[in-house]
Amino acid sequence: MKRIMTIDDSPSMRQMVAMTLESAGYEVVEACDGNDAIAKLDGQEFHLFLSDINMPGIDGIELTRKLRSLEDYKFVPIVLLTTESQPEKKTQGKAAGATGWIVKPFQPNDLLNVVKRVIR
Amino acid sequence: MPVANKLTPERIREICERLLAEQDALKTFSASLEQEFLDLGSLLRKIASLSRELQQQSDDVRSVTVGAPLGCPMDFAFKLLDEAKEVARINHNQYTQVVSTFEGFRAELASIARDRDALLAAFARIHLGNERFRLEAAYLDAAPRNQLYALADAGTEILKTLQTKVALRFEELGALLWKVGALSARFNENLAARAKSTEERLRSDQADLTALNDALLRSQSFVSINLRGRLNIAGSVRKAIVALQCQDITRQKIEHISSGVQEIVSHLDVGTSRKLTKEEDADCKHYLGDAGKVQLAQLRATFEQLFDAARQVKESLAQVSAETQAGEHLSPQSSKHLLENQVFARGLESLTLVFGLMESAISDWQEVTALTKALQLTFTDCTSDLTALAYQLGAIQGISQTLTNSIQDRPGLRMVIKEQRTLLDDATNRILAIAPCALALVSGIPNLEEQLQETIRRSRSEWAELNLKVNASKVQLERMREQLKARVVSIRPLEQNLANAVEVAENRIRFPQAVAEISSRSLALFEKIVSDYQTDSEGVPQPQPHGKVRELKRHYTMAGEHVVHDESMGSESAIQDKATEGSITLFEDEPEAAAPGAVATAEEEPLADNVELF
Repeated sequence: MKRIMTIDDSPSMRQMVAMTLESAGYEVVEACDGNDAIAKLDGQEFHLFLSDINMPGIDGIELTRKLRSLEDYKFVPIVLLTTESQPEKKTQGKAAGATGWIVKPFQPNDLLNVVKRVIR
Repeated sequence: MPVANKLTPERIREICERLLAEQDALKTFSASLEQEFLDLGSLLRKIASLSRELQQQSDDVRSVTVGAPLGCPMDFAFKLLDEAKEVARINHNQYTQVVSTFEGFRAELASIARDRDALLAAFARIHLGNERFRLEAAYLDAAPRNQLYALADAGTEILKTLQTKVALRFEELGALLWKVGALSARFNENLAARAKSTEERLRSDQADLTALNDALLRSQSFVSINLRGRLNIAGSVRKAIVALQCQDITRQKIEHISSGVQEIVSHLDVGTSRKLTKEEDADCKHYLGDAGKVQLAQLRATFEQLFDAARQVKESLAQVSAETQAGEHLSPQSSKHLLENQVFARGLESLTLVFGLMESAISDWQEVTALTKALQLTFTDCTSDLTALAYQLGAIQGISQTLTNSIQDRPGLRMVIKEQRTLLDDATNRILAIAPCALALVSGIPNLEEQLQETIRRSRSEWAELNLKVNASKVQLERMREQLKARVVSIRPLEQNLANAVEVAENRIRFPQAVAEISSRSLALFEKIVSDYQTDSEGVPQPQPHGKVRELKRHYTMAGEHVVHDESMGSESAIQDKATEGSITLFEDEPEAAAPGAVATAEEEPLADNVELF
């Protein structure tokens, strides 16, 4: 079973993401911010990171850079799920190593489509 | 200018206090939404899970009915019925053939029986001829007369023996003829009756199996309707998921509005402790009016988004409720048809009763076989006797020839003897004509017996094979029925749980009331500010937006916020497409070394507008 980590400081948003992904058979690990995400890596295999950007502590773009610096997670897809839509932010995300960008709110089928596309 | 509009330090302090109080209220309100949305999310999760389980059960019902890997049990049962019809048809044809053969026997026997009368008449004439012979011989001298009497006596004895034997044989043949006739008549009667009962039986079997199949199809169609309902539920759940995301989105918007409030308060700070200069006064009023407009617009949009979310969630739950109620109505009907014992039992019974008819047909064949053996024996004896008879008539012919030679001078006697010889020839020819017919009948019997045995053997084998298949079919149908019953029974509590979960969720939605309360207060505050300060001291609307209002934009993260801001300032938004909310981008790039985690294949569905691949 493919494992996905969802990182968002909003519990209700994490809940909606987890519900959508679990209904399609994915295992979901929730983290409430960037630091929590790093702590929960624990050497486990993850097939995708789905992260908000605007979070307390380490934001999503910084988290992306950190994950890309880790040997085990260097090539794992990272999709940023955010309310941000500005081109500059998007460029920052791409430069940090993100795989994709989803502007909230997401449609469940669209999210699953993206996940299916990026996960190998 | 109205007194209320004057920006005295007191007034500015009052405005700032009210703004900060509203800021706190908005934050409190925003935080309070979280638990309700989490609860709604949990209930939605439960609804989705129950719906998936129901879908699985419905799929199971369909797969049990259609059947795998053996194929549909009903199809198997119908095919079996077709096979039974074919075997019954073949049996019927074979039966008809045997009846036809026996009819042939009977016709031949009747023909032989008719020959008997003519033969006996011929013997009678020979007897008469013998008497005339005696009369003519009486005129002779003693020695030749006695010789002739002795010959006549010998001939009479032979004839008597022949007459007795012929009578006996023809009596046996007559009895046989009667038996064959009776058997043939009974076969004919049985053939017609059996054909009729078999046809009726098979027609009834067809009707029973069709009734069972119809019942299953009705159950299937209810399940299919249920399944469509489940799919509709899934769609409703997806809508609700989108709506519930607004808690996070509106929380951020409220944070940005709060930041905007802070900006306003900061801008007005200069006037809280001293009287403003004329320029400062104009500036603050201008700023208040424009910032107020922006904040008012942002608040309206945010509250509208929350009201809209409540509407969507309620609609989704109402749809789920409607589908669930429709399903609740259908499941009992589905059960009713499946549990219709009479239909099911008759369906099973129909597969076996036709065998009874065929078994009695096989016992008829055995009776026929016994009769053919008796026929064979009788014809064999008859043929031997007829051959002996012909030989004895030849002996009489020889005697009469000797006599003819010795009575040259007795024309009367010679004529009698000549006539006798003619009669003897006739009798001999008649006997010789009967013999081959009887022989042909006799020689045909072993073939018939062999055919009958073969027919019996094959019928038994075919019906035995069908019987095995029937037992297998019954097992399949029983199993299918039990599985269906179990599935349909298990669906009902799931439907009830689903209905309960929907009701709880519908009752849990309370936030629209909280939104209404806070929106009326917040909007009233900013409407007052806008109303008081949207014009200058002379009461003329400001021609251009205040320069600092633009700085409110640095708090925005969403395209929609920019659009609302620009529209409230009466300018065209630089962000053309407010509908970037929900867009997806997967960053298309060079191979994976340059873009970690980049997608491998390109044959997938097209991405939504809010998706970009890097």
